[in-house]
Amino acid sequence: MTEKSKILLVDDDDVITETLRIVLEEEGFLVETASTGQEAITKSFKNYYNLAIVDWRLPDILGTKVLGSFKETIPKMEKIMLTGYPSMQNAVDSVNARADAFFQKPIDMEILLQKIKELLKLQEQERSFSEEKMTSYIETRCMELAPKGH
Amino acid sequence: MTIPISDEIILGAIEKGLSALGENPKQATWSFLEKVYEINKQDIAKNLDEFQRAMQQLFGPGSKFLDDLFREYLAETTHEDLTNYTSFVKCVSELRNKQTVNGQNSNQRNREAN
Repeated sequence: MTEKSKILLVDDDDVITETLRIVLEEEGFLVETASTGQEAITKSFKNYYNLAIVDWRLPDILGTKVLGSFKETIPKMEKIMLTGYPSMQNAVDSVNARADAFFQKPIDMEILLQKIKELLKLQEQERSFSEEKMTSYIETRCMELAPKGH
Repeated sequence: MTIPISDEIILGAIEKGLSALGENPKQATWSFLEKVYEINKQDIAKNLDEFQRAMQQLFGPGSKFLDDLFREYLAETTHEDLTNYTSFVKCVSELRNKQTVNGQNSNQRNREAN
């Protein structure tokens, strides 16, 4: 990755967001935080994030609702759901809301970091593939439309 | 404070907008403009209507997304509010007109002062 990846942390628990922020910044990521679902959605309208880590239970709305909104604002963003109340239903709802990973609190930082890196690598590969397809499309159009002799 | 519009500023906005596609697609777009439309990168600001046609021919409805980006970056650089304009070309044209009128007014003021 040439640029630093941007991560949005969405949790109303300051201890968790600050701990995660420190760890992620040490790993070279750019980190922003939001303490409510609405704040996170508003931020995703204005800024691009490569990945979001969202708590299941936020003070205003459910984390799954936030993930649903991200689908509209940043469709390619990778999304990790955190929960302090693990249940099969929560996991199913998270998958249905298109979470790419589901973690239970207390978080094992090492496993979380590994997952973040894995998801960002996949995102980067997908981006490169899209760029290749785009370049190939432009070059084809160029051949189709260029006057002969070029 | 408003920054006067120049060919460099126009090209800068286009360059930044095309960067959203990625480096290789951007280079392929420059090449498309040269080969199909015979417009060199440095001459784009003088051939904006042609450039707009080229973008529409190449990207179809997707050109609207790029046009919005060009406008956004132009607004950022010139510190002008360009939200009410329907296309990048119209923004540039309006900014150029504004600059000409301001220039004429300033010349007139200088003449009156002398």
